[in-house]
Amino acid sequence: MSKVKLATVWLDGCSGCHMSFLDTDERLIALLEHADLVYSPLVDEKNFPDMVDVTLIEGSVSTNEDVEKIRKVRAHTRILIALGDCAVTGNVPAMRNTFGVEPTMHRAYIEMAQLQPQIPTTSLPKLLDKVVPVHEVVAVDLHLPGCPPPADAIFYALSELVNGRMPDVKHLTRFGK
Amino acid sequence: MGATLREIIYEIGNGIEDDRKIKAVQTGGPTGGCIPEHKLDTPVDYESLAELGSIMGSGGMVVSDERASMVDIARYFMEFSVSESCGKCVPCRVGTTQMHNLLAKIERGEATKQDLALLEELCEVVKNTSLCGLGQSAPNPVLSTLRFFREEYEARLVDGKKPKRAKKGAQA
Amino acid sequence: MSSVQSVQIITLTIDGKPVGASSDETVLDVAKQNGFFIPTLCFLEGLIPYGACRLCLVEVKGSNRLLPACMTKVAEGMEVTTDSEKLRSYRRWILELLFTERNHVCSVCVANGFCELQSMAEALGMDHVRLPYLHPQFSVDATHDRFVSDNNRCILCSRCVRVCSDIEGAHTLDIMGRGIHARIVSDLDDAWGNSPTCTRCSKCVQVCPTGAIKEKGRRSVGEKFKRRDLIAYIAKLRGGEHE
Repeated sequence: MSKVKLATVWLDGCSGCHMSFLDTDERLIALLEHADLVYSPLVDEKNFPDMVDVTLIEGSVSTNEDVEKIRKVRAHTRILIALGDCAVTGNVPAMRNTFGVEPTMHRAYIEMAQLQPQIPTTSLPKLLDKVVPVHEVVAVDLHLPGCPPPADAIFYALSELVNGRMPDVKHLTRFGK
Repeated sequence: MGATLREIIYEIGNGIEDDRKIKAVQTGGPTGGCIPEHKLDTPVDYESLAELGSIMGSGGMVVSDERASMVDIARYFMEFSVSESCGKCVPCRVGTTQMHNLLAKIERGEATKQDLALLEELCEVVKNTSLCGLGQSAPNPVLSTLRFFREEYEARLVDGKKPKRAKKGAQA
Repeated sequence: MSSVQSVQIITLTIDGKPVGASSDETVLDVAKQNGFFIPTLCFLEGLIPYGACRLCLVEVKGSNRLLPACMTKVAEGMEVTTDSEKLRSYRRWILELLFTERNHVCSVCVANGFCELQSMAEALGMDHVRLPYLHPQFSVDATHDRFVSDNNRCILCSRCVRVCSDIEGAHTLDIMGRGIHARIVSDLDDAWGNSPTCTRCSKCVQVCPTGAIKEKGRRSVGEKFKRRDLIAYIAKLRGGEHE
């Protein structure tokens, strides 16, 4: 049996969900007997592969770059999992939606700046008017809420998936866990 | 009572300005339903109107001619329900606002089939779970326009069916 | 109206199971006593039922509408259904509507882990909302020296209003505005800190199902422990005189 191709993607989040994924500790080794991590901030691969079986998305969709990335990932993924509250609800990144882009940028780059206050115009992707959860942009097959989702929930979900079963994680995690 | 919609519009109301075609009649006030032209011979009584998804309500009527957009009409009446909701129960307080936003999205031509499906489901939720008559009847304009003018909604979807244009000269 | 009404013992069925009840009880009372789970948010033991959250809606045979279990009195021969595909779908929708309405960010909330909205989402398997979040902007009233009111986290269950008026007798808190703009205010929409009516009893803090009303001090994320059961105790001590 060929190994399941697994990928993880990091959008607008704190990387805590990836840390929680790593918190599965030695169970990762058992998992990787059935799966290959083909793309991730944790590995070196720069291009998203042609077809991936399972992709975990951490973070909300906050910039035009995020939109492009998530569309590409969706097109090349069989089962897409929204991992953590940012991907599922918008969570902390979406708290700026109440204020709008301009005041947020002003607060971050002018009011709070200690040196040369200026709003960056190059090298940074453009912020969307509203931060949105992943499923508002592309179809999501499984939602795994939590801030971050507990390692046990991530491990359970992945071990079910590599065995070809759709996991039910509803009682292993919740918003804010 | 008992007179048909057509009699009321053409005989009592003297018909439509410039002899335009009637598209729909909205009866019973803002939370009533829209009745299409081909049902104009329906008598105005409680049961007949209810059967068409509308209500007797205030007894008022709004007649729209062929230029009207039914999505716009539904959105307009929903705006009324949003501002009239007292805010006590959840489905009416939040549901009317969300229905209004979905209708506006459809109107702007940004909605998908999935949005339309959500709107329909939400209509059922608000209708069946609201505390009082306002919430329970707030979805009527949407449900009745969806029932009789569904193609107008679908034509505005990003991924919807576009209406077939009549070929030039096809009309005899 | 304190005349003694004759209370009768009746039988009804809940989800097909015959149960006994006294005729002055509600469907919710009887369901709870018999181990049936009916989700609730605005209901709180000891407060006058309000019927606003619509989570406790049940099917009653012969009624063409769904009825709120917290406000519906039992009757002889009543046939109640507490769980069905339709009810589950409606309850999930109501939770989704609540989550989209205000700014519920569990991960940074004082009530994380003690929040009834959050645990209800878990209990009913609501793992994401299908509609866009509304992200409204509400100001936070932190003028009181002991309490903070944050309408961003409010679900308008009115428990604080009811406990303040019916149990404490102060009626400092109330709801202002209507529809989607409704919000909790103190007195005539003045700063809570200047309230001449607030007795600083903190009952509102105890009954709030979310982090909307919280106590100041060393309270950070997930540290808002509550004693919601106290109100039922107080109401019982007074022999239900608020009814």
